[in-house]
Amino acid sequence: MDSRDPFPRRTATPVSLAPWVLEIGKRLPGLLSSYTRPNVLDPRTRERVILAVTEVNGCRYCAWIHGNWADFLGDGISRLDAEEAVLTYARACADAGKPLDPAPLLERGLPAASVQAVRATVAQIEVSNLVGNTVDGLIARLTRKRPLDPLGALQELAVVGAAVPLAIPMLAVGAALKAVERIGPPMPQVGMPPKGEANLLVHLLASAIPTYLANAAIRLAILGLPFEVAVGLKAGRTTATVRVGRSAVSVENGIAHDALAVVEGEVEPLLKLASGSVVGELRKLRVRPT
Amino acid sequence: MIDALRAIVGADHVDGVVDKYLTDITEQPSGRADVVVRPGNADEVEAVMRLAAAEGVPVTPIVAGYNVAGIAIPRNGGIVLDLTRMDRILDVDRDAMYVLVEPGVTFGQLKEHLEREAPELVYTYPFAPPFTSVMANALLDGLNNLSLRHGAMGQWINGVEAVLPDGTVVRTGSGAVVKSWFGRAPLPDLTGLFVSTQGTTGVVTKAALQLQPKPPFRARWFAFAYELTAAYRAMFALAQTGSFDDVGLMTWPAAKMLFGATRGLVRADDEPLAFIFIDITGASAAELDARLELARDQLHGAGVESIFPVEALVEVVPQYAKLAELPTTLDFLLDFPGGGLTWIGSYGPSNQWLAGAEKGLGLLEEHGFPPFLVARPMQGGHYFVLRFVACFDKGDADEVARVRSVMGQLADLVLDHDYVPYKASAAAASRILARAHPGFVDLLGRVRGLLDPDGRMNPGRW
Repeated sequence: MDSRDPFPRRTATPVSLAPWVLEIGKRLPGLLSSYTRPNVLDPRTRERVILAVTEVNGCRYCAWIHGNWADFLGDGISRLDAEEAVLTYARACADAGKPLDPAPLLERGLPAASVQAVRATVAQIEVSNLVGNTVDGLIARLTRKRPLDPLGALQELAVVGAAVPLAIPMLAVGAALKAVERIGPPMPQVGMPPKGEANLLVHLLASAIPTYLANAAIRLAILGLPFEVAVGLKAGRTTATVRVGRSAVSVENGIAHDALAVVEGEVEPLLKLASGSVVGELRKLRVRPT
Repeated sequence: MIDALRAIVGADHVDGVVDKYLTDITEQPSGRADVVVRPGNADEVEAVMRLAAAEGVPVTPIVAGYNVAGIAIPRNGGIVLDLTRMDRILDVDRDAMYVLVEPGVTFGQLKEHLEREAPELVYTYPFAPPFTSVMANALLDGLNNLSLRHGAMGQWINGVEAVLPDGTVVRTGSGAVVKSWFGRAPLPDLTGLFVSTQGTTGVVTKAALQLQPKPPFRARWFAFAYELTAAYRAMFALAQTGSFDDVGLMTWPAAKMLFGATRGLVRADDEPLAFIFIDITGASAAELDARLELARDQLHGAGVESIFPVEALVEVVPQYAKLAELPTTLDFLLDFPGGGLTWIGSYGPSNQWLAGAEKGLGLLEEHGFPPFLVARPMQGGHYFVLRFVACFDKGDADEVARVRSVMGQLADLVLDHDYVPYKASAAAASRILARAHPGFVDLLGRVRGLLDPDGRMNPGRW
């Protein structure tokens, strides 16, 4: 940034973009994983990383989009023990303006695939932040809050023009997520028998359900049902029934006679399912009619 | 005498307010004391002991007071010797693998110190809060998470420095002869004078405790057992392999209490009776994998189902992390309404475990308490643990009477099954002595008579 330029934020220039674009190029599989494999990088952790970087760079567009995204996902369980280390790393990269050595993450025992996903996430949001800041920089030029500098303005216009095809859908996604979050029903209290009588599976489900319902779309889809649906679960020998619909959710001991189906399997896949690792675990479970 | 004590330890460390030392979390009756003295080093302990001997005053040593048997409640007045200020880790010998500690060193402190200063080594940690005393746990022959491999904690002591009731300073173990506290062999084993004697033979001011290598690869599993027989078979089989760091179980009330349940605990028909925990380590990934496979085979062979890594559970129910890493807070037990927690813990032969466990759980239920049992094989399976636990309301006289009754009956029950209570309460110690060989009782009396002829040290014990 030109020291005489009163615009306080970093914008997209060939020099500022180069290390991040290169990083994205190297970490493409990680970028894909960050949006498709929650076991590699939990979506809530991903959004926290994005917001941490965005806070450093001060991009209001990214803060709005990903703030909405984080609200949409809600506060769930983070599967990343080393989350604080990840956020520290992300902020340090943003401060430095370039990708840093991920050794602190590896030292905390973060798997290599997760490290790749974190690095890719940091890089992609850095690029987005720089572009977003460039929009504001251009507006500042046009409103004479910074020197017009026609050459600089042209460069920024080129950056903004190139980013528009991606930026507009992202803004639309942000708006959609915000809308769903707003119309989604509030988080209900999970109904269950008295704590001493509830079996361990009921306790477990009552602990896990808020993680699922933290997601506004799931809350809207499940709690918004105009009728009640009962589904049985069997982990090992222990059984429970989950009832959802009519803005309520409850769990009870045993398989209820009106359960539509029973999901059964070993405890481990059910635990992973309960913690949000949905895709990989569904294959290990059986669903049968009652 | 108060002035003399102030001259020894400083006026700030002599206190006439003794109330908090007169009770603990158990059902044991309140005690009586005159003054609390908090020495800061071994010299001050020596001077206090000489003064107490000259004045004929009882002395009750204490650190955290979480022995869960009322062992540190002063019975005959006199001095409560609070050792919490003596909290220095004096040495870590990374070659001979031991640590030299003062009595106030806590598990949390030692763990943090080793992780920082000697990360290749590890001590062994109890199912107890991090503020409890490493040395007290060892001297009271407690059990920790490497006790399956290395036995009760008294066996981890390489030697001690202690102040006898008359103020004489003594040393035991190799540290009595050479600079290194490498072990108790090949000397006459005088360290035993201070193990499980509950502070009746002197005040230990330094203890050398064994450390162990810390394997780089580790996994921790839970498994559900639906019958006690399957749980026992699994523990026995896993111990017999000699391949695991820790194996143990807790029955279902513990699991429900971790979810915040307190009273009205009911086991559903399809619920597990117990969850077994298994700590598995390896010097390499391949060694760990081989042990994981072995563990799975042994568990299935014993009829135990539903094996899963603790981490999978902790992701969903973070409060279960309390069982994954020790030491741990016991708030799920200590937060019980009325704040009472007690148990009868015992060591005994494996072939009596099943019968003892079944009858003990029945006794708890007959007295209106949930069937809460903690168990583990010890020292490669040479002996097992039976620990029956009860939470109760200390303000409810009827419940206190019931818990006293059931703990007394449980002490008899475990002895009937060849199990011997550890950290024995006064009542349990009386029962042990009533059944002991007359020669044992005579020898114990002679030893105590020699070291503490006036019976001033932690009176009311043994």
